[in-house]
Amino acid sequence: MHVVWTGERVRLRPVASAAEYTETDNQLMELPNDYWGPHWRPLDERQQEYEGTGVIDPGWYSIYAIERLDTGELIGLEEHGPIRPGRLRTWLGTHLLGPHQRQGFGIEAKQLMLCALFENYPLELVYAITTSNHRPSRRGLERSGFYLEGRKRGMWIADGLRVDEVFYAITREQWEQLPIRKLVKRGAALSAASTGASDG
Amino acid sequence: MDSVAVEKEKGFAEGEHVVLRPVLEDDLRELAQLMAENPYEHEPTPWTYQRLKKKFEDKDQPGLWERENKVYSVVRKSGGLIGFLKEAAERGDMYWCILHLGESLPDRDALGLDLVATYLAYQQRWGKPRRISFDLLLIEEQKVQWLEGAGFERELVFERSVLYRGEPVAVGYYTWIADWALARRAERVLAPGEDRLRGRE
Repeated sequence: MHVVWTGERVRLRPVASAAEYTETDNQLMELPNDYWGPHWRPLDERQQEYEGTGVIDPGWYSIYAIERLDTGELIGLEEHGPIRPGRLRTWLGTHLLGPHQRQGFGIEAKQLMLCALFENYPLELVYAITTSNHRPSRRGLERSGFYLEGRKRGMWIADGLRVDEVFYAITREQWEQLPIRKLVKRGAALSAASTGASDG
Repeated sequence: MDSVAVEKEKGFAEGEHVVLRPVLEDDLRELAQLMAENPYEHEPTPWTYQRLKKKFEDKDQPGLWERENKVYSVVRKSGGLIGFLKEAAERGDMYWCILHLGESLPDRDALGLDLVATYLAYQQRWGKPRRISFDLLLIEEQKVQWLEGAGFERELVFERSVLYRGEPVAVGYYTWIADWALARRAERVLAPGEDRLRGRE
């Protein structure tokens, strides 16, 4: 299967190195998220995780780098949950660095991840979880094609408040209708030398 | 049967018909079969005796009795393993569970109703649970009835989530939430001026 998925504004690709993974993850975890709160995992644990699998491990979970096409910057991480025999659903999650949020990059990253998941695995449904008061995330999921599946009441404490966890989902049939299916490019672009093209 | 020789099962929680207690080594062979038989498991299935025994003998957290993940054997009061209940605790007051009773038990409904009520009473007696949730396939109608009979409500459904006998089927989450937690949630979310996130909802 391909591991590089390109849309109009971003590309998903494997994380290039343990350093790239830990540095990006550090930046994402540096400040407590207004909605999910503080989150931290020791550096050693994340390095071992990368060295073991390159953080692409369908039986457990996988993480891809989100790269902007206009600048080539790594702007966040896109992840998905386990793919298991008999299980027809999994989850995805998007983590964007602050300066790149709320510009639509996360929407395309999610849609590219949906292509990777639905095209390669016998899944019927992909879901995502956010908190009920996280309006940017909810709006992003809705614009990505997800619908509100339901909620778990009072599941999360955010900044002293008990809020609901809300569940969004998209079915295979709904994904098939998304425009991203016609736009997505699969696989890495090969260099000119690899394709035999001449410079002149 | 010599009635004097029948030793009643003792456990953490005793209901009318069933007892919940930690898993004993002698349970493992039957328990592995029951776990494999359960149509919806959190972990990859089928379970085998060997895999379960290895987990049971874990050096750090033996006995299928980890700090946050525990397995209870469900036995008849008169003796005999009939099922299990798996519990994953989160933050000390939320519990994610699955349960299963042998499919061929003739009195399965009576046992199931008793099991759910007994577990709920046990949690309330020795702790202060905020929420207890059971995951199951919606086609498991008996389990749905046991849970609803004890006051659990359907909270969330994921359609076409699991392959069962060749067909995609839905997974349902049945939840009990303590009255005090529901009341506090309403107060905390809605109290004017209390929170700086108010208005983002």
